[in-house]
Amino acid sequence: MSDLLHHDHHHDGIDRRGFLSCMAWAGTGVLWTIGGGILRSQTLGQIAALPSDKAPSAGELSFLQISDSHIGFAQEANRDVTATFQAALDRINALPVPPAFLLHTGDLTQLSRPEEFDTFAEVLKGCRTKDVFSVPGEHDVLEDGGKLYRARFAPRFSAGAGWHSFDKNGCHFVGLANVVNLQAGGLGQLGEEQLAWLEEDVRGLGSSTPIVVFAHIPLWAVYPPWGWATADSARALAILQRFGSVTVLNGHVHQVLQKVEGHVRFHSAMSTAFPQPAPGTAPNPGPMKVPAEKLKGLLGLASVSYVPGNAALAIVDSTLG
Amino acid sequence: MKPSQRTTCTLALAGGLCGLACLGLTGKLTSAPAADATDVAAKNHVVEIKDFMFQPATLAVPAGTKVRFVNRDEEPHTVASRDGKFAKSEALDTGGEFSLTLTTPGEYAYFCTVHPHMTGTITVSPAAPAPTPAVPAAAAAAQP
Repeated sequence: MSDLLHHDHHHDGIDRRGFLSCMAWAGTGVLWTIGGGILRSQTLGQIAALPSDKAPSAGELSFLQISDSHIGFAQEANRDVTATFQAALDRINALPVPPAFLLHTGDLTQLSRPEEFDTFAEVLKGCRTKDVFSVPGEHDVLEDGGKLYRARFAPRFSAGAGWHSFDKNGCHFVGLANVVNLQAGGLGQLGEEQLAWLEEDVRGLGSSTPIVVFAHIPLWAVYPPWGWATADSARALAILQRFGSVTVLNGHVHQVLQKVEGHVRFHSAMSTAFPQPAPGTAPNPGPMKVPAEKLKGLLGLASVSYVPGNAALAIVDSTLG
Repeated sequence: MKPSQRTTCTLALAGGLCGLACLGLTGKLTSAPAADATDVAAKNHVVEIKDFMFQPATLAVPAGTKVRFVNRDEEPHTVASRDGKFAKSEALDTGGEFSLTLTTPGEYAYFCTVHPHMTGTITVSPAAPAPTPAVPAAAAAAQP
């Protein structure tokens, strides 16, 4: 289905043509997500039909967002998160054209333990895509404010809690760390030092430069009662206000949720470990147990494509089964 | 003891017992049912971390009491002082425990660094004072 969900002619985030053809699939058992007026779904095996999966034309860029692997978790919701992480990488490896790089939006591990970071790194070695940029989740900074995470996974050019930026094909990528210095009763936090760094980092960029921000805790108010928001995200978004295309990729919530606000597109990805309940549908955001045969349908990752000339990046979420 | 004194004593005693009974009754009306697990845990100075809550969220103990935190959730939690009054616990996996003995009276607000919406308070009261010494027998005999 290569005509899926890449057309936003009315610039309102709704792909009507794709929606209608997708509705014909309603009985196929495919996972559907609707958020912010954007319909996205298919299984990973079908990525083969998408433009992002053909050999990219000049300037085109295709990468994957993967998130919340929680290596070390072994409760009922998923007794083998290493296996489901491996399954996600196997599917990446099976793509005819591997993505240029991976963005991991945090919670690599469950308890920040050295052996968990070891296992994560070991499994990751088997991925055909070698370039992996990550930002820490709150599970990765439990013991030492994130020293071990940074020593092993923050790029050499990162600063502070692990924030960093890089450029690919004319797009500017910004990895933010919003999981340290969390305040009692509070939400995710970027902090003054990181915000000052961000302001300097984008100062020299032209406003038509597509910006991709990735951070663990959502940078929009998904559900504050569960801590699903970042206290000072408005400051970051104000710094990025002048840019014509901003894509924000987050993790933490273990489900696909999306929102479009002006030129900013927010997207949270599924986990490769376990699902969590939809906002407010359970007493707390703990791991959600589902029947074994349903688990893989609630785990997955997101393929993101940039085609020069299109302001909005195309994001397609795919499940593991 | 003279009979009039005995009567006075009896009446005073009865009054005292009534007073105590009233206090006891009032206590029952305002407290939670005795079977509440949180009450039992509190009496034993245990804070259960369950369903993303510290239970009980407020705990009052005398100085020098050991408070045990036990994580019953499938998510790890920590116990961190809001204002640096005690060292943060390690991340507690399911079944993990953390003990805290506070010797200085005061309010100790704490939270979970993984889920900062989870908060609780321990109120430490001064340790019970030593009992006052008994009145010497010679002084009592001097009473009219």
